[in-house]
Amino acid sequence: MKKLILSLSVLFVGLCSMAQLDRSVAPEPQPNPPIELNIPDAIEFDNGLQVIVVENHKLPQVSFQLFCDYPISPEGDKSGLSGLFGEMMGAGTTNTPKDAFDSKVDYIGATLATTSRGFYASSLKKHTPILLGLLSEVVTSPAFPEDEFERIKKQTLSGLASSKNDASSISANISNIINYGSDHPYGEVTTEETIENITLDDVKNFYKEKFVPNHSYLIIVGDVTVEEAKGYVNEYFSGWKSGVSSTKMTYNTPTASGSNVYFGARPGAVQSVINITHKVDLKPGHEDIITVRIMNQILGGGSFSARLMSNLREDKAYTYGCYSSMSSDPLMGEFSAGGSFRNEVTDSAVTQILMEISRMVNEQVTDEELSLVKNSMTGSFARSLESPQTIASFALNTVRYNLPRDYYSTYLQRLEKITKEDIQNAAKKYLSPENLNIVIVGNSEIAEKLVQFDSDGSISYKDHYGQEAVSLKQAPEGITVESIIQTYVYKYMMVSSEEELEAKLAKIGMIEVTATAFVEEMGANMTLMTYSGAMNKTASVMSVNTPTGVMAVQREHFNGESGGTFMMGAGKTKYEGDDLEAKKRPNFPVSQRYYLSNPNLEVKLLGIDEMNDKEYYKLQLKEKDSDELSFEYYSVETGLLCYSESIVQDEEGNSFTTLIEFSEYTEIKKGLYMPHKMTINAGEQVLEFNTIKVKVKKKPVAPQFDGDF
Amino acid sequence: MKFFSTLLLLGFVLASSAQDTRNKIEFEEYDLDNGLHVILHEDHSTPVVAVTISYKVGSKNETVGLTGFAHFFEHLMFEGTTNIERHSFDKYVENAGGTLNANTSQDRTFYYELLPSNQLELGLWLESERLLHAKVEDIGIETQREVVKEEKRQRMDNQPYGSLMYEIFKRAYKDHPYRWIPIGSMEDLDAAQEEDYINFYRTFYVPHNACLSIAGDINVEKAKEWIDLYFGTIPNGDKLNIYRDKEFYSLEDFQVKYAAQLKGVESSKNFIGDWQNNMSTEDFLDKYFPNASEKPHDIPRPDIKEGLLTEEIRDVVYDNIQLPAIVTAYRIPELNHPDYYAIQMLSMLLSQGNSSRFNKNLVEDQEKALFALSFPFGLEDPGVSLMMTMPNVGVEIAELETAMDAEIKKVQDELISDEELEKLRNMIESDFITSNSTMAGMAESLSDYYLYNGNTNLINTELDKYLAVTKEDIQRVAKTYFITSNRVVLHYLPKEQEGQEGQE
Repeated sequence: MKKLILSLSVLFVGLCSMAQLDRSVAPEPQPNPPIELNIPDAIEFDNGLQVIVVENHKLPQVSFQLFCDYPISPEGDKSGLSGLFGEMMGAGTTNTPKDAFDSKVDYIGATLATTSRGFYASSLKKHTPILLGLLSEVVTSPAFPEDEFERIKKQTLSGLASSKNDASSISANISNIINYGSDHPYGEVTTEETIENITLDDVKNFYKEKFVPNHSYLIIVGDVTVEEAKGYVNEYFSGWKSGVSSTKMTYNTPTASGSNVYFGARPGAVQSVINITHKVDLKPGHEDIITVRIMNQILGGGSFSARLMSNLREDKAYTYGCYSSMSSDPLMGEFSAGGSFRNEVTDSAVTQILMEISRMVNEQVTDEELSLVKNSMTGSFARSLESPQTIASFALNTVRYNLPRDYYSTYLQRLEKITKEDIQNAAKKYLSPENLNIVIVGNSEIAEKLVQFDSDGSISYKDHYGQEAVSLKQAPEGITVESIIQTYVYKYMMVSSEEELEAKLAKIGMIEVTATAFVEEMGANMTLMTYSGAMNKTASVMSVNTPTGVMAVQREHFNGESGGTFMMGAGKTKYEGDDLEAKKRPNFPVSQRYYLSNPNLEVKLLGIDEMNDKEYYKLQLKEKDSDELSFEYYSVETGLLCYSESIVQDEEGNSFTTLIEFSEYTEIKKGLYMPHKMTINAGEQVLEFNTIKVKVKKKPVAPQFDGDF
Repeated sequence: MKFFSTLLLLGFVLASSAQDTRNKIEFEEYDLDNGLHVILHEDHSTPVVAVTISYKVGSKNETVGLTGFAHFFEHLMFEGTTNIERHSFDKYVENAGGTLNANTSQDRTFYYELLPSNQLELGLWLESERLLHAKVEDIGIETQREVVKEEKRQRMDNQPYGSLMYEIFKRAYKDHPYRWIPIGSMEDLDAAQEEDYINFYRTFYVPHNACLSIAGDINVEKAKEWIDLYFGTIPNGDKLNIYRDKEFYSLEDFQVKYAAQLKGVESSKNFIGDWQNNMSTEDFLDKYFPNASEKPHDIPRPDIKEGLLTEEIRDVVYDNIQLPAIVTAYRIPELNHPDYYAIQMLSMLLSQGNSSRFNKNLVEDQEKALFALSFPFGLEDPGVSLMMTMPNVGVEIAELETAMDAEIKKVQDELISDEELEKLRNMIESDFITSNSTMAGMAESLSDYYLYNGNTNLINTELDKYLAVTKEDIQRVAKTYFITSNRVVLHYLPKEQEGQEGQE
């Protein structure tokens, strides 16, 4: 009955209001809800551990986060040590080896992850004692087993290998060194070498020296009272003995004068990663921080209405996203603006970003911009309080940075008071449009267009680890693409003039080469047979010798007019269109002979490169209408082709390099000087083909050219 | 050691009736006269409110030639309405200090606003605008076509393994519309006419095909009042169509379309005056269509059910990737099927946590895989359970597949241990209790339970169904569904391996 009355009254209210509803205007908000914020104090224990407890009884769950606040210090030639240490902290304890440790964590349905500064762990309240037992072991008796150390090191190395090709990692490496200097902890770069330098003893020492309770915070959040939390700490963490606190160091950072362009080359890239950056001296808790945040939101925060986004994406469509950030840090923060941009608009994008940075300094923002950003920041602050972890991080920051006790509870009032003048003043104080580090990682072809942004008009070239890129030595006068190719062709054919070459080609019309390679992964031999005939006939077959017989993996053939390929698993493809036209070009006895007469090929001499202490002329080859590049290396000493390198790029922007080495050049009977070893190096795969037979014929006639193998 | 594990077991038994440790989730649900389902959950712990609305339309409601429509509408619904200017939908929310977004699955389309709790009415207004009279017109369609194409490029074409779902589903289904994925076909979107889009909106964006789920710092009575005001006044049936025509048709087109109902009145001075003088649509309908039917129409839904596969389907996919991968899909029954719970637990046994069988055996001990995952992709109609793994450097893809199959065979041949079963139960309990900790998550869960299971209260009782699963159940589902003849196996290989040319 009660329910009926209730629903009737609802209906009544509904009917009454119906007449008032004007759908054409957005409803006004109700009065602002009060935001309650109780930031707990830290409780200090005998061993120096400071504990922050955030009670939240909504769910029967408790989380523990340990933050060991040792001062950051340079890792030097062992850069990457703290990362390895963090992973090793999760590799079991002396009492509970890794497998048993993992089982116990999973058994209680808990999460547990370790970092270089401690751990984050969480479970249902009823499992808390078991979880705490494990955490206590992690802190006081990590096992640091040798086999896990090797496994993690190996993983880290393969991670580094793939990041070499990653434009964002290259950009970060360069930016960090430029902004902070390589002696600053933030300016260090982790390389294969620094990882290889790290020993298990380093990890153990790191633990002994830095991992002490007297500068650590344990943050306990969830269905727990302060008294319970104190009990936990006494029972599970009092055995963690205090040690010597490391002292905080100060570090110098380079002072920029004027704007400088730094370029990191990524051959074949179709996009450039732009990072326009400078250091910012802004400490956590500083009174300007809210103003700086609003300023950054207007310039390049996450919303579509931010200036960088609306100018570079919505208006000009240069990019999918363009953002800026300004960080505060106890040592040194940084400003950064940029994104990924198509090659051809890279310089225009830099121009626009620089313009937007200057505009922040030179003009006031509009009332609409300010109020939109204030509203959205107020809302996001309120929404963040839904997670008790937010309160915990507020409490941690308050004690770590010694902030006023009401720093967070008065945050919104302070936000509300910021004016347009404040924002322009902050922009003037913290942005340096005249002293910017402009870091671009991309295709070298666009580098020259960036000179205009450098105050001294000279670009610094960097490698993927942020070190000075070694530029190639110039080839001596008189050495040209023509001369290099001619020397090679003559050497190969063992002739010394064009007449001799013609005469020899009248006798040699076809070359047939058999080579084999042992493929370890398959435990089998692979045979490669190639046939080439004047002037453009080709055929090849790659086969695997399996216990049951010989199996062709791939074939190719072209008889001068038509041909195609066959791939196991992919079937047959006929040469058509541009492919067919390309195949029709002459290429006998070596394709180099026709490089310069091919209108679709651009060949450039880049200079003299060094590989394994030997010098090579480096030629760059590029097909018209293609972004893909390949390179050839001709020995300065012998004139022979020794390496060919091709870089293929996928749509994601990842590039794959294949390097083929040609070696063991020897003379064969009919007077040809040919490599007898070909080593194909494609990422993880290495195939070494040894030539076992070469046949030379006068006439280019073979059934293989017609696809008959 | 033995003593220890018995203790653990005891600990579990003591606390095993999980509902005791968790508060029951209270909610209220009811239908409006127009058929809109409403779910309200009150929680005052933070001054925020999640306003969500789900439409029971996903890619499975699409027809051949019009694929991608459900997802496309998710985009189109941000373009604007009669009262909301183009591209200002998100500005209202941002200005209110909130956030918003949407997502589309095979079975439903979900929209949400997360707002400060004093802005509940704004959220209701925005969503009622979407339901009543979203602008489905060429300008928005053109814009969003390009955006959706970018999204497809970024998520599917340009993402390593991004085509995984597409490649799996197109092979795993013969007839059911699950054979295409929500992003659909760009050709279909290009070819479709404005009329096709309007029809889709009118078929699926109707009150009786939607569920409004609200969670957070609300006053339930006040919320209901506003819901009546903004949603209760939305007509349905013929009347809703006339309402939308009144707002989007030109006078001439309207006169022609409704000539029969208006019987000559349409060219009278009064009628034209009322049309031109901006008489409210409500009043206009009352005056000229007092007897328009509000009877909701039937929503078309596929009635195909595809059972177990009869023969293994095996294929190679070349993609822009650096590392090869194996992706396997086994047909499993629909979400609502009793076996679903055991299937879920089997997947957890294989790949959840460091101590899971895949991780311990394939990744850590044998070092054959970089990682190996297993997860059921439960859908309203029979779905698939997916597995994905990547071989370690130097490991043949076939070798890894054999090792993975051996793990599945082990589950079929031997009952899992008591300890493993307890582990799975503990994990599920923990997942259950800690899920729905945000208001947005809560509103979505309530809505999904209603839409998929037809039982909103499953949010409180579903855990029991998991705890009732036995070791024998897990073995049985392994034998029933995780068999060779019931699967699709794809080998993902780097593109360079496709059509490799012989050396010159």
